[in-house]
Amino acid sequence: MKSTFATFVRSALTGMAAWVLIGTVQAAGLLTPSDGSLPALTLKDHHVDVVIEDGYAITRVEQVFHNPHPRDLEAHYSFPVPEKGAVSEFTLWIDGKPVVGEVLEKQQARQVYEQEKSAGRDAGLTEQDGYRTFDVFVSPVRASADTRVRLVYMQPAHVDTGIGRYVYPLEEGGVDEARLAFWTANETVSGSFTFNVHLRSAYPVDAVRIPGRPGATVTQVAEGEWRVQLINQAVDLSADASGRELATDRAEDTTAAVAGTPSFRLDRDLVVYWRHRPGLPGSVDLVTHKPDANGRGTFMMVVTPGEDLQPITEGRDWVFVLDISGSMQGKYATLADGVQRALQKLRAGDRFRIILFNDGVRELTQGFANATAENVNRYSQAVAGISPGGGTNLYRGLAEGLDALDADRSSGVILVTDGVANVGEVEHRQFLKLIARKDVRLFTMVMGNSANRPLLDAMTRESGGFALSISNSDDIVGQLLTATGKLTHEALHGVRVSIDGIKTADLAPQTLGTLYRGQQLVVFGHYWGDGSASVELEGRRSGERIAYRTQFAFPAVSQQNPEIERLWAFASIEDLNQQIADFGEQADTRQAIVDIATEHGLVTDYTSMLVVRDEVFEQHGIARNNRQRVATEQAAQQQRSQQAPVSRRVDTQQPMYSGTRASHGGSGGGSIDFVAVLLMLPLVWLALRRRPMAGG
Amino acid sequence: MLREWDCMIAWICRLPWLTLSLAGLAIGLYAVAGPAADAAVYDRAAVADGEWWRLLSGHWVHGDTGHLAWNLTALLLLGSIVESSRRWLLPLGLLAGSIGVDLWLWTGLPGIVRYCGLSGALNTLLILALWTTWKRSGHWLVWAIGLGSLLKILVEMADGRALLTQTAWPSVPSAHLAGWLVGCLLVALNRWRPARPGWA
Repeated sequence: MKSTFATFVRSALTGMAAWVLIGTVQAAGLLTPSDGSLPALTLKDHHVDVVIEDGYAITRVEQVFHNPHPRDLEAHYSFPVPEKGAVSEFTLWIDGKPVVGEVLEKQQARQVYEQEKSAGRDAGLTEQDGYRTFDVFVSPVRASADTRVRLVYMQPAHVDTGIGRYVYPLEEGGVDEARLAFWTANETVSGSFTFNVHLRSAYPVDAVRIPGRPGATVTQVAEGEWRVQLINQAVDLSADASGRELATDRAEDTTAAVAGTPSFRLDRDLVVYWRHRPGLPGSVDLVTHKPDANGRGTFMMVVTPGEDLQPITEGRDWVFVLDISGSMQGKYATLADGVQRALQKLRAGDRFRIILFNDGVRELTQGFANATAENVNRYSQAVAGISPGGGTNLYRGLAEGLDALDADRSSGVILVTDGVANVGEVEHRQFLKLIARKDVRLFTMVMGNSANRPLLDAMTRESGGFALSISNSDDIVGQLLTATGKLTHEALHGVRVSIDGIKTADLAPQTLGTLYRGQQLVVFGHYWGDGSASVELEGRRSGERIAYRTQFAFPAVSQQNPEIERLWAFASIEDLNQQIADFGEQADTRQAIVDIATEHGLVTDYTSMLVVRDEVFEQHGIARNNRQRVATEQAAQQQRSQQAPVSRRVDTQQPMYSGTRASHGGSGGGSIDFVAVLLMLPLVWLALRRRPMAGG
Repeated sequence: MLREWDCMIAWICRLPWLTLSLAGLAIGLYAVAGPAADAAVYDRAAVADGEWWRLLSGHWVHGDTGHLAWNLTALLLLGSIVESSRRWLLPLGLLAGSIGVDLWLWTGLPGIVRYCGLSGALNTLLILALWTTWKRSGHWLVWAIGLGSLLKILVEMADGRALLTQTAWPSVPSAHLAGWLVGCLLVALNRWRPARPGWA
């Protein structure tokens, strides 16, 4: 009894300590040193506009920082790195006019920024802190004044098993303890907050959802066009006590602000799902940008396979390797819920083991347990009862999981973690060696924002598995359905794409790996010339080689999607980053990243985006390439917005697949038909014969 | 003049007001929220997340105007027959049918993640209409209609789709069978329960 009570008290204290720690900075927001050496700024307005079309999303975040203090201060806004998100524009309003930033090598950008800051001149800087955060610095925010900034980032927005998913990341991952201890985040938007998503799809979409946000409105505005809107206008805390002065500087904000409306907190991700109508055909889509007929073009090819991967019916072994370290504190409830639901989805004949790791490793099960209802219930409760804490010995946890396999049975390892290894072996390459030792598929559930996605992606790719991101705001059932569909069906391994008939180069990603049920294959590249090309996708399915072919034309000129160039650049940089992670940093690889990023205006680990006054750009000889690129992109976006969504499907004449796409299952609707009504008519006659309905 | 007025009042009183009201509800939902209103359809993930109302509301929204029109026709025909016999039998049949179809969707059709439409519950209503008409008329046609409807469902189940309708959301014939069986169960329960006033 005493020991139970002691355990309870220890767990409670551990939980409280972690909560207090996390409470310091656990969301996107304006950062201030926790020691109180600097006063805090106010996040006055936060407006997010997202356009999702042609296979990618453009997120535009416009913010107003307010300095209520009598002296000039620097603003430091931090937010989690969006999945495959590439910052392409940082604009700072100087003297009331927007100035678009330019990308420089990281040290140079920081140096110029510091010079301008010291001189008291307006400057802004956006840096990337690895896989963790983007950090925006603005100096100065003048005393008792506002400063407006705009940040734009792009990311692929593809569909998995018929479901598209967009995440606006706000919840801080809690993976960096030093940062958590040093900074305090003000994540409250005191003025107006808006979140608008405009989905434009040439493929029919039959539903759009934003779970956990009852105040949001979802509207289908036209065929293939949906809008999601979340508006929260609060009392401006910097205004007078009566709360009458409201921050409403955007004319399109139509919701009436009400005194006393709670302010908006940037502490939970916003997740938007859209679902394609079931029964759509497998397809190949091509999005291109080629402004000059004689020049180089860029393309994005998206292959959505028809469903021909067969279900796996034999019993399998599953080893769940669960991260119960302190950094999982805010995500553990989601983890426990997900594991419980995953266990419930195991089939008769399946077996499972559960291995837990933080500083050390222990097995929850005693060897393999059969997937009976009793075992599932018992171990679900055991997982839910654990309090996370301690460091993360990911290497030992994973090694234990791999050693737990039974060589005679078909097996898979499911790793659920944020990937922040900080105890024992932490070297990226050692993890890859560990994975390579066993012929087993590793499936990773990447928990929360700021997760070590590069490491987790590399490990899953090495094993031929897949990684799936999970936010606390996700529909966990839907994400598990997506994962289950992949685990219960064959996969296409060793996928390769060849394009003949037209000159192509610089394909990214360089290794395509494995294609699981429901996944789309996305290939970026450059091309020259125009005309018909033969495209072949090949791979191994259950050990047999299989190929899919089609033929379509690459255009001589196309100017509707200039953003494709940045997306190609980002995919190429991902390949180069992978090389650095695998083989260590080489000077030429690093320089290649800097060159691609500066040419295409992308913020990376080696490049940052700087905003200074126009004359300062001139003084430092900094070319305004990104300003020109942004103008081109904005013109194209304006043009696209004035027309209906355009189909990018190119294999209509010669489809690559004969079957329909994988989906989670259909929509169904029972309908009475003509025959049924004919059958009812004699019944009506019989009823009327005895008791006529009308009088007389 | 007075007699004509009385006849008119009697006629109005004998109208199947509950059936008409329910038909109005379905039309209203379609008019206000549009086809397959996202907030109301049976959505497996949303139900699992606690949006229980979808288990009932999903049956009252429809995928397109054709879907709505056919189901409304059946509701008006069957609802009028059942309501004219015992008014309370109409909501009971629709509720039991809806629950039965939901149970089948949830346990037997995990692949159907979204469902809308009243036809499953209308098959429950069909059995109740057959039962009440049989009690009144004892006509052999009642049995023929019942067997015909079962045969149609079985053929559709074998074929995997509806025979003659082409709605935006594909038909789920086994949901019709679930509703049909719930109707049979209600009739059986009434027949086997201790002697008390029956339904018809």
